[in-house]
Amino acid sequence: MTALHNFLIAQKQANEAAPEWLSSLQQVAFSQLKNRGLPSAQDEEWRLTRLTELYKQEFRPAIATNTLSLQKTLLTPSAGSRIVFVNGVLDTGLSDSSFVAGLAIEPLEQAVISDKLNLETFFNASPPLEQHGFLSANTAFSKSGYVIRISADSIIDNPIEIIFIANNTGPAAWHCRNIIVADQFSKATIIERHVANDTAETYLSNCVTELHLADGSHLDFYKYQDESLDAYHIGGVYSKQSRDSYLATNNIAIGSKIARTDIYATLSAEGAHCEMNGLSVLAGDQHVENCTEVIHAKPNCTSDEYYKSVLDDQARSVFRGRIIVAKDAQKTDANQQNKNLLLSSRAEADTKPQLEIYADDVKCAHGATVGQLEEKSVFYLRSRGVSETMARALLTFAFANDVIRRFHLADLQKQLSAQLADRILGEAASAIETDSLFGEPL
Amino acid sequence: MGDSTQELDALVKRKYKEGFVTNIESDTLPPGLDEDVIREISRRKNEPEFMLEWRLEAYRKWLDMPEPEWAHINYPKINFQDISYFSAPKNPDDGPESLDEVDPRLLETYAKLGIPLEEQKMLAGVKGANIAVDAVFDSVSVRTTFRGKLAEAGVIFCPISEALQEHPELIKKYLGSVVPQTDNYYAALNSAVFSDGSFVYIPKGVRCPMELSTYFRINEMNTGQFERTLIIAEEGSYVSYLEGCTAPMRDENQLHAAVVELVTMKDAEIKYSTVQNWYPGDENGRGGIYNFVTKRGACRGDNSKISWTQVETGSAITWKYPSVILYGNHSVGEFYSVALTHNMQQADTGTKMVHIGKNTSSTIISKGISAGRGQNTYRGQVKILRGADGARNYSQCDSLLMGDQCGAHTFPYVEVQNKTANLEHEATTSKISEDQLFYLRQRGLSEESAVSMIVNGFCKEVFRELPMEFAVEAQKLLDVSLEGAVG
Repeated sequence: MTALHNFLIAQKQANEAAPEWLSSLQQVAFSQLKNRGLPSAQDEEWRLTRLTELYKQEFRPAIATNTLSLQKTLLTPSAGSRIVFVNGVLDTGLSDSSFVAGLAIEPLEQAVISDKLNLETFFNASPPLEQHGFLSANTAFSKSGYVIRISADSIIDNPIEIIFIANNTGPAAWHCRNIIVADQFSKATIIERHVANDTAETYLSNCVTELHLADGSHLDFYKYQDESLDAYHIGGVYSKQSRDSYLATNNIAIGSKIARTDIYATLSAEGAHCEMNGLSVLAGDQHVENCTEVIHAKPNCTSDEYYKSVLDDQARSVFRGRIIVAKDAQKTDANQQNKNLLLSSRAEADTKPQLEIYADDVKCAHGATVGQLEEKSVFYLRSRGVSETMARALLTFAFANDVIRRFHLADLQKQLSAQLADRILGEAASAIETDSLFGEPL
Repeated sequence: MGDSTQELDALVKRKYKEGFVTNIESDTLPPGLDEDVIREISRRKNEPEFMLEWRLEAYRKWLDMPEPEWAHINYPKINFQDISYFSAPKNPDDGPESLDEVDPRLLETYAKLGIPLEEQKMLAGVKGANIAVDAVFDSVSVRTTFRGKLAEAGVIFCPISEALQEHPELIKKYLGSVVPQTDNYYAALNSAVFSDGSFVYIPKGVRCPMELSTYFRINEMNTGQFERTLIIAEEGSYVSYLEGCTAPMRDENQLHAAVVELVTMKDAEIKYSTVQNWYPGDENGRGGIYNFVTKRGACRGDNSKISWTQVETGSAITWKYPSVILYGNHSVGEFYSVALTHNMQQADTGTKMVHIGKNTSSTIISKGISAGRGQNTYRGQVKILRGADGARNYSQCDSLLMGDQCGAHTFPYVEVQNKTANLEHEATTSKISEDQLFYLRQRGLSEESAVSMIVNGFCKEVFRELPMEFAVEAQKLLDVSLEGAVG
């Protein structure tokens, strides 16, 4: 038994406010966690992400001491409603959820009691509960989180922004569970940011978001993970799509010491489309694993996946991408690309693109590359009088920015591009017209 | 669609052409496995003491090993005590000197396979080249030809049991040096009970004067066949080795757990080609061979090369990952594979390329064809270690699906620890498109020949790596296996 497992087991306490259905579900999840424990290196699905150090941590429930203000850089310029969690607990002072027609936002603890949103149908409806210990822990201990429901035919113009800030003293762990329900023909953009205050100490953020898309709905979802470099982030985004719905999950990872994010999409009715974009820009001894799975359960669905990583120093990125085409899912069109750029000889990229296909009339392709910058391209820029450092930085920026250009939200795209330029080009960025670099959105 | 479904049914019901049993009396050990059985195998083969110790060591380790379950295949648990671990045709000691002395029924067996020794000789006669055949009939080699000619060149090509008598120092040095006893469950089992196999040693600077070839055949009820092949290519040498197998019809599953080890020194090259057509079981998945094979090559010297080519059309279950460990700088590993599954066949096959030396390169071309209710999985690993500067890999895995009940899966594992490495992986899955079929049909080709042409085109990149005789056989095999299979 590891220290973390013991800590989690000790967390068990009766959640008296919870309705019957929730407490029995949490009971099941708890016994699963207790019996199966947390994933180990012997687990094929976790073989490449070693959590030994995390398991040794002595965690305790989070206490916030430092006062916080939201920094300008954290915010999306065009954001409308905003919900802020500090150490996994809702901070009403920083949140701003003024009334928007067609949009209902509630903290999880309220939503389970009021049950205006009929949470029972959606809670834990898509993730495979028995998948791994962290998911069980999340289900067993989730007391906070957000619940968003976009009512039928509503189009929410401004993006909804959710910010999880770590501001803990002493090692702490929290488990948030978020649920987004997009009703028929609704449309919304949601940005989930995971960030830390400079003074935050080591912590574990175990955050699961469920997306439920009804017929014809449209959801543009961003997960921006810039946790503290001492932090562990275990996260999941599990979606289930109905007929003709559209989902984009954009997954940006630049922070944390070790992060593992599972992005699962189930296309459960005809005509659904799912887009998955991912970008990890890592340095130092950062380790990020992205594990994606697209399940084509019904015919005539399409999916397009595009994941890239840029790795410097001893950073390591692991990509697992699985496409499953069920027996009846004819006319499926699934595409998956994973490209990795190694900037240092100590960096490591592991990629496992997988196809599991049980139908014959399908078009499926996956591709994976690992490599360094092409000398020819560097030479081309050098021949134009660009310094070697600058040439390499520009090419690296272009490689990464390629993913950001696939995002639909122009404001966010611009912000992220600028942030990326700042990080990769550094001071050199100011010497050139950065605006001209970003290009028009695709 | 109706027509093609019927044709597919016809395909599914096709009887295994090579299904027959030749009655030759054999010395078979009763089923079961313990240390005494291993001692008995070793005693019968008159092996040196070190070999018995090595076998027992492997056996003891095997007892503690768990059976692997990670492969994408389903089968009932194997009872290792139900298998007989030794079966030898009568009088193995006075092996015939020429074809005339060979048991006529054995020759008949080969004739039924469509690849008899005579045809081999004839083919060789026409081309002016000779193919030496170390024919393994069940577990003991009964015939070895062209020994003289090979001996002239200094090449050793003999059954491994004979090599143990005559060249124990080579066996001691190399056996288990590429695939250790405890490498995996089936390799450990093989190490403990292997009955025979081929041994090839190509001395320094020698280009083997002919292509070496072995035909394997399982011929005794309930006999697991555990071959062990060891090929060593010394500095600057070259050898091309062919292996082909078919097996008679059986109702009970037969286990086949072979181990093949290849070693190449500086500037040496080994080309290893396989056509595998073991009995695949009937349309309900009854019977058929379990083919759990460990094949691995080590490019020990600089500029050395190992190339695996395989055409897998048989076996109920194929579990096989021919690998190359690239130690030497500038060494090259290649893997070309066509795997076909139909009826209830399952294949989990692929390769493993481990880049250790600088500027090493590897190529993987895998073509999977699934028909009927077949499940075809490509599983391959490319690992580039920290020191492998300038390593290069290209992988391409294509799957062709025929029928709506089959499956095609791709599980590549790519691990890169060196930034100068350059690596590409591509995979596609498709069915034969109506457009392609229509084009060929309107040119007057029957549906069958159109499909055959498309399939052969799909596999061309692999077939052209095969030696001529094998390419012909492979093409024939695919044609027969896929008659009328239009999804």
